[in-house]
Amino acid sequence: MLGGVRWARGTSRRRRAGAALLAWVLTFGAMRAVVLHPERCGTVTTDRLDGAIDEAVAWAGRTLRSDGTWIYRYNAETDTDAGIYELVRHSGLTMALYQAAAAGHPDARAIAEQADAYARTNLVARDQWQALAPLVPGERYDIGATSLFLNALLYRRTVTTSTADDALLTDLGRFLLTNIAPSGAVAAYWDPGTGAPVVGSSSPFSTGEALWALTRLERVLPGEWREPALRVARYIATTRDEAEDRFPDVADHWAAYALAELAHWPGTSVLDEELADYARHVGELESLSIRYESQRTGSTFSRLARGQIALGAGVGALTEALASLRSVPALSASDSLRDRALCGAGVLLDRQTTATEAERYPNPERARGAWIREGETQIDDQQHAMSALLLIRDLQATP
Amino acid sequence: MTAWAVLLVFAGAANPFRRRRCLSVPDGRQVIAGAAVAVAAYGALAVAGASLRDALDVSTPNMRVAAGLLLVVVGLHAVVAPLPAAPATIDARGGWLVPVLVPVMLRPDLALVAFAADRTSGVATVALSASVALAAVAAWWHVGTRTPAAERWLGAALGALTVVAAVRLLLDGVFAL
Repeated sequence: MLGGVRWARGTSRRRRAGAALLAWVLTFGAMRAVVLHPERCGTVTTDRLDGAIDEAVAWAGRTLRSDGTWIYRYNAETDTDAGIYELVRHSGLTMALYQAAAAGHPDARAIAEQADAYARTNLVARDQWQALAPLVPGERYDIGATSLFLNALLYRRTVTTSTADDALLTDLGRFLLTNIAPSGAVAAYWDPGTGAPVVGSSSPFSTGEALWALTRLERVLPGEWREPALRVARYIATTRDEAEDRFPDVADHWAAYALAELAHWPGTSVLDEELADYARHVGELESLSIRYESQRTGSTFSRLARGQIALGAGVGALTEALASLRSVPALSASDSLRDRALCGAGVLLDRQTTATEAERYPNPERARGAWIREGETQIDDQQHAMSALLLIRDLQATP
Repeated sequence: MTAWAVLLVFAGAANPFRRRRCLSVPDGRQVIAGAAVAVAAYGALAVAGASLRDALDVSTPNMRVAAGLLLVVVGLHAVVAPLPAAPATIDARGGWLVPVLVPVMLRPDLALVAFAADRTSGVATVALSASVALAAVAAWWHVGTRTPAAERWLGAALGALTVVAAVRLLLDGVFAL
C-alpha cells in the first residue's frame, strides 16, 4: 500500500504532481513578490549607534547659524535653504541635543546652549505663566513649541545640574495647564487676541507633547502637575481619537514617552489597565509601521510596491515610541517590541548620509550626518532620529 | 497566534467537502497514510518556520498577514466556485503520495500558516489543527454523502468559515507587537 511512486502508471499522476508543484512555486513566489518583502533591519551595534549620534550632533553644529537658529529645511541637491522657520521643531532639536549631552555626547551641549539662548529671546510672560511666542507677532501660540522647550530645559537641568531655571520651568508648565480642558483635551493653540486657548483646536501630537512635559515636570518639581497630567493621559488613552475624529488612531510617540515617564513616577503605579492597554495599542501601531517601513528600499520596484521611504523624522518617531514603551511594565518583557525598536534603529543607521555619500552633494558638510529623502532634510529629521538612537543606545545597555 | 483561528483555517481550508472528489484512490488506507504524512509535514514546517522566517528576513506577524491574505482568497474561492470535477481514479501503490498527499493534503496555503507558527506553542497548535482538519478530510472520504448539492453547500459554508478565520489571522498579524 505504501510503496514507492511508479510514474510509469500514467500521465494523470505526473500531471497532478506537476500542477501541485507549480501551485507551490506560484504561491510562494507571488507571496514573496507581493507580501513577504524582506524586512531590512540593518545591524545595530553600540559603535554604530554612537557614531551616528555623533554625526547627527555634528550636523546640528555645522548648520547652526550665529543667531542660534538652524537651516530649517535644506535641499541638499541644490544646496538651498527653504527660508522658513518655526519654534516647535527648533525646540525639538534643542531637546534632542540636550538628550545627547545628558547621554554623554559632550559636543551637543554647546550647540544646544546657543539654540536655547535663541529660544529664550522669544519667551513671553503673562498671567503667571511664560510661553514661547510665535515668530510672527499676532499669530497664535503653538502649545507644542512650549511643551518641547520645557522638555529641552528639563534635560538641560540634568546636564547642568542647575536649578536656576526652576521658576521658568514652573511658568512654562503653567502655560500648558491653561490650555487643558476639564476633559483632558489640550488646545493646540492659544490666542493672544482673546487671551484664551483656541477652543476646539487640536493637533495629532501637541496633546502628547504637553503630556510628556507635564509628566517629567511632576518628577522634577512635583506638586501641581500630577492631576492634570493624569487627566490628559486618560483623555489620550480613552477619548482623544474619537473626540478629535482621528482615523486611523494616532500612533503617538509623545504619549509613549509620557507613558514611560509615568512608569517611573514614584509611589504606587499610575499605569492602570486602561493606560497599559493604550500603551499596547500604540506599540501595535508602531510595530506595524516599522514592519512596513523596513520593507522599503527606495528601489523602483519597492517604490511601486511599498511607496517611497519615510522621512527620517517618521522612522525616528516610531522608533522613539517603540523604545519608550519598553519602560511600561506590561510591555517590558516583550521581545518582539525590543526587536521592532532595534529594527527602527537599524533602518535609521542605514539611511543616515555617510561622509562618502555626502560627497555627491554640492555642499557635503550640510548633507553629512543628515537623514535626506528626495534630496531634502528638515531639522526634525535629525531631532527624532537622534532621540531614537539615544533611546536605543540606552535600551542596549539593559537586558 | 490565536489557537482557534489556526484550527479554523486548517479545518476550513482543508475543506473535506471540496476535497473528497480529488482523493481519487480506491484504498482508504492510502487516504489515512497521506493525511498522517501531511500532519507530520505541517509539524516539521512549523518547527522550521522560525529559521525560514529568519532566513527570509520576514517577521512572524508579516508571515501571518501573508497566510491570512492567501486564505481569504482560498475561502472565497470555496464559497463561489463549483465543486472540482472528479479526476480518474488512480489505483497505484503510491496513491498515498499522489493524489492524496499532493495535491490534497499538503497544500501551500496551509504550509504558510505552519510557517507562521510561534517558536513555542505554535508548533503544537499547528500539529493539532492539522490532525483534526486532515482527520476530518479522511473521515468524510469514508462516510461522505454522494449528493453533489449537499457537498457544494457544505463546502461553501466551510469556505465562509475560512474567510472569517483568515481575517482573524490577518488582523493578528497586522496588529501584532
